Amino acid sequence: MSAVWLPRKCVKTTTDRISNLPQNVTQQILECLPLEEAARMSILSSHWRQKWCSISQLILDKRFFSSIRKPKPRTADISLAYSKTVNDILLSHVGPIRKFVLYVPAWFPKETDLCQWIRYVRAHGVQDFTLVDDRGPEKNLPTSLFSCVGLAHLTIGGCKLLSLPPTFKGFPSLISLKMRFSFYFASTRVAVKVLETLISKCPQLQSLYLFIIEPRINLTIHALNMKDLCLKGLVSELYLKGAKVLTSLTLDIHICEQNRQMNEIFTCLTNVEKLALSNSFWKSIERYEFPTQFPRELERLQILKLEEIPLYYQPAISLALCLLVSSPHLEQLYIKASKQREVSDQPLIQIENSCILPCLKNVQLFGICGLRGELQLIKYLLAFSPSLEEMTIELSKKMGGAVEKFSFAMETTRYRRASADVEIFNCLTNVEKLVLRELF
Amino acid sequence: MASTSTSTLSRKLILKSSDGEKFEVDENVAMQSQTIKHMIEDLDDINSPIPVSIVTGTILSKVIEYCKKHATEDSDSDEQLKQWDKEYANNMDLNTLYYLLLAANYMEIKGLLELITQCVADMIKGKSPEEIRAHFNIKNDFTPQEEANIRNENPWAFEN
Repeated sequence: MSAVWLPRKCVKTTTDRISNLPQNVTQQILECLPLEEAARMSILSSHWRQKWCSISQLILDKRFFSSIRKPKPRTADISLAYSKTVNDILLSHVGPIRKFVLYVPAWFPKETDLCQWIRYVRAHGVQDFTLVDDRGPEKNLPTSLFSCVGLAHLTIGGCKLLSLPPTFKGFPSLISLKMRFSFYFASTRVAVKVLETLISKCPQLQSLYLFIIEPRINLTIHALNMKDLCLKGLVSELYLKGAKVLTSLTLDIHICEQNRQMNEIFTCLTNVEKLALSNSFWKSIERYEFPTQFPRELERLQILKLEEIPLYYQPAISLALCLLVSSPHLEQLYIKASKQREVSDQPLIQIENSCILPCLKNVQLFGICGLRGELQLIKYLLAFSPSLEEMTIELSKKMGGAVEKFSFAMETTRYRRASADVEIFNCLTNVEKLVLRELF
Repeated sequence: MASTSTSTLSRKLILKSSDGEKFEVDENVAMQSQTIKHMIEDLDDINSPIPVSIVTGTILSKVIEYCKKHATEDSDSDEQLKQWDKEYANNMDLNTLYYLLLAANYMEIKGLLELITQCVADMIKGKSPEEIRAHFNIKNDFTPQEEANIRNENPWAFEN
């Protein structure tokens, strides 16, 4: 027995395969772990005792707090334990803190702790800071945050921005800013002004994500170096000033002043390579009298995403076509049809035959349910895209039975194709394919 | 001189492992290693083998497999590439992963280093300290009293 057993044991490696790695590799492994697991490594051996203390990112996010939170009878106790934990983590730390993520739970009352922690990470050279405040929109953003002048990335969620400290000179190195917040508890006009000032005081800002929860605001953005802009929520008027290098734009806002505003926005897009128009945006086009083609072409547009577009609604299709024919270099088109639909199919629109889409290679259509407008769009795309390589059509779950889907698939394969190489993928489930094989 | 060549065709380089095995690879494959990139800049004759001194032939062939896959960007979608990475890493035993980490770190191949560190981290995730020690053959040199002290220092990490 032992003769068989012994050699097997010898084959198995007995060398420590993790403790002798270079310091930077060890650090990188620890940074891939949740913080509590990285800290737990300290008990493995004396080699690992202090290793977790020098990781350069401290992620104290919502997940982290739910992992350390124990059911305790009183809020004061949890709050104290939470303060102690964060203090312990920060005080054990050695070396620079590049990235810091802090989640502030709803029940956390201690403003002074918060300011201390922010000052601590600032002193350790924090570049990437995320603050998620769950204490409600009436809480003000901690002013100590504005002293972190070395920040390159800043993400803020939850709190309000009422004023900037008088000494605030801006974030000279800030590259990306993400904010999700509500103006509800503030004087809207003042708060918007503060936001606009903050943005204008970040001369290197390249990427901005704003999610305005309430109420509706009018926003002017000075976007001199801005490459990537994403706006969501309640923005009724938007002015982009100097958006010369903007390459990616996502709009998920309901614009009120439609004609004046839309034309202004679409003339700002000459350098945009990627454009996404989502959900709320489609509510903006009810009264918008757009042209059949924009006066200034979207010369650089390569990727167009139309999300939750109401394809049953004729102006939406018309605007989609207007965008297509104004974008001679478009390569990829992604359309996700809105789930809400009206019963009646609207009459077809007139499409000018001369508008070819010379560069379009890839089309993805989701949530299609066989409406006449949708078929018309597919027919047009196939007939006028000579470079088309792939068209994927995913049918809506609401579409009905396999027979209905099959006749849709048959219909689309009959359309004339400008490209000889195009492949059409109709996403039917395996069961549906089986049923079809039985039927036909 | 190599630097005067303006040919768009990919040049060939020869990499020599620590145990003397030679591999002929396209320049754009080898250039994913920052270390090799810097070495080429300093070389007068690119036809002579480039020594990759701490990496054995077995490991170097695996590194080259990764670099070849990632040298041609257009052939696969991001999804497919991720899937390939996953299978690539999952097929390695612990010893190979260890030497790949050393090789990726020495050769400065960012993507490969990230892939393997993530793979090692995934092996650690969700395991108890005892299980981690057993998995990586880590020798516990703490007394029970020392262990208890460490647990008390950071109770939040050990309460689960």
